[in-house]
Amino acid sequence: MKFLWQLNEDVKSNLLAVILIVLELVFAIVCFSVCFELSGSFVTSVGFFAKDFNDNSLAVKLSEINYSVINDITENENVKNIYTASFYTGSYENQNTYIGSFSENVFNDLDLSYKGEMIDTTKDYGNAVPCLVSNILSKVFEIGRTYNLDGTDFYISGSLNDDNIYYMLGDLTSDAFFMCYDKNNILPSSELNRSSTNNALITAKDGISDTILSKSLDEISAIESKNYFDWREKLSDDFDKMSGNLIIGFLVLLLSTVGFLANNILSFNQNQRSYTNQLIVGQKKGCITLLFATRLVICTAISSAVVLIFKDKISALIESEVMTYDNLIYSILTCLVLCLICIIVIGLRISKAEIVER
Amino acid sequence: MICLKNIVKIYNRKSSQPTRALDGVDLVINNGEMLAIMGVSGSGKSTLLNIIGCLDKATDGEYILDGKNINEYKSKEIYVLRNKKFGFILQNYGLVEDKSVLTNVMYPLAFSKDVGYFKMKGLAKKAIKNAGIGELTRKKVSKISGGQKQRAAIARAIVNSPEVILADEPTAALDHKTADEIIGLLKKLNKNGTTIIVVTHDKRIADMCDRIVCISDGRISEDSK
Ligand SMILES: Nc1ncnc2c1ncn2[C@@H]1O[C@H](COP(=O)(O)OP(=O)(O)OP(=O)(O)O)[C@@H](O)[C@H]1O
Ligand SMILES: [Mg+2]
Repeated sequence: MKFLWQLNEDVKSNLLAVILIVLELVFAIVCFSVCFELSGSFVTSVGFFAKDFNDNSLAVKLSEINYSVINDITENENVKNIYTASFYTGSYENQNTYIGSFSENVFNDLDLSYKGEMIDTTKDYGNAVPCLVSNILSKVFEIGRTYNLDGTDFYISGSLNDDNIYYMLGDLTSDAFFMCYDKNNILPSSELNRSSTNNALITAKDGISDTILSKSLDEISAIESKNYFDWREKLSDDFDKMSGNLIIGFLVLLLSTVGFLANNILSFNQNQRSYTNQLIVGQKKGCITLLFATRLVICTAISSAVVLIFKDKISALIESEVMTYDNLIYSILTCLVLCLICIIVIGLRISKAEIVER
Repeated sequence: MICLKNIVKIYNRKSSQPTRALDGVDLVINNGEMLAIMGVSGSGKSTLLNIIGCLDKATDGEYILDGKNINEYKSKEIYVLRNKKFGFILQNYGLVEDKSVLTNVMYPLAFSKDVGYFKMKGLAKKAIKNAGIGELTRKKVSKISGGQKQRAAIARAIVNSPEVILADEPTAALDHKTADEIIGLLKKLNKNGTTIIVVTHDKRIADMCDRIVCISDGRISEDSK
């Protein structure tokens, strides 16, 4: 009761400092949480990818910060090779045939065996879209001819030899597809799904029966439907995001930390005379420190409550979606550590204080 | 009982110009005495009072308080001494400026274990009334005059019913009439058994005490009853 009375008197004398400290702490909690999120996602990614991923790996996103390795695909006993998704640009379906648009490196770099001619990415095919058809479709479409499907002309430049080449679209797989090089943007863009980069080209080992293979492909596509991607891209994205914002974040953070410490020390200096005069009539040094500590903890509690209650509004204000509860808790703990430093500094000064200076 | 033996106090001991404020003071003050300490400015009166009241420590010598060397008191006990045993009326008042008179007078009660929370205010108000500034109870200390501060300091000194009151020039800022009132107040407390030690320049005030101790250059030059 007496302690509360003293606390009340203490807060009344330091009202301005208390308000400033609450504001500073709100600011610090927000900054900390943004920095935690930015560096956290990068550090988690680095830690994870460095451990489990190699150059050929793709990542499957299981949750916000949890990825799974997909280089199992190449280790799948039925799969001969997997070409990662980065070359893929778009596809659509036409009468159970998948029409895929690929970037030029597919035709220049991939070691696929074929009949007819490989598409020449430098050549002008006019109004027709040059394509390679899969082995199954080579019985229907003849090499060297042009076919019209729903108004689009396709020039069949060659057919893939491998029976077991599959290209995956979302969670569907097909062995009936056109591999197009759509240099002049002839493919109907309304139908073309160019947004996804989450597909892969797979060649299966020879002599694998269709049923066994389709089972393997089911597995693979199950993983694929979980959104897999090139982890190096993700890492460099994360890094860009982090390095851009983090420097500003940490600068602001440093400022708020220094401001917080300075504010506390200044407010202590202001109080020193009053503390001495209290010591004269029997106030305990420990009690002064305790009052100070309680005041800081109350400030932290108020600030934390403010941030937690207005989390969404603050997020909108700073245009950040990264203020998770986890990060906020860490931020609040960090602020408590800051408070602890202040309490130790002030506590030491109080313990050294003399009533009569010498 | 307060017993000082060969007390020496040197300020700024480590600097090139140390100040020897007390230079071998021997003094015994019995319970219930009313004692005046006189001396010119800078002779060491406040220093002596600070040492007696445990606000400062002697550089050398022995201070025996109630039969126990002051160095043997634990810091917890020193807090209690300042809080309960001594009542201070300091030369610069020693009040918390940004607080009301009432709060200042409540502090010694708030820091002690003896008085319950709900009794604090009543006791403080009574002490303020006794010091003659009942109408200033709620005023901030920074907003009252020097004489009024002196009375506020007196109220704070007496509120916890201390055994010893240490008053450093308690009447310096007051006219004769109010000075007499204050000394009258201290005398009344002394009649009830409180030991009173008053530092004063004023021979008239000193003459109202039972005993006068004169200090010059940090030594006791005269001790008369
Ligand atoms: N905190 C201090 N630090 C350094 N020197 C001090 C301190 N306090 C007092 N002194 C010095 O000690 C000597 C005695 O001072 P003290 O205050 O005890 O004198 P006083 O008798 O109370 O004087 P006054 O009548 O002016 O109050 C003086 O020379 C003073 O300058
Ligand atoms: Mg003095």
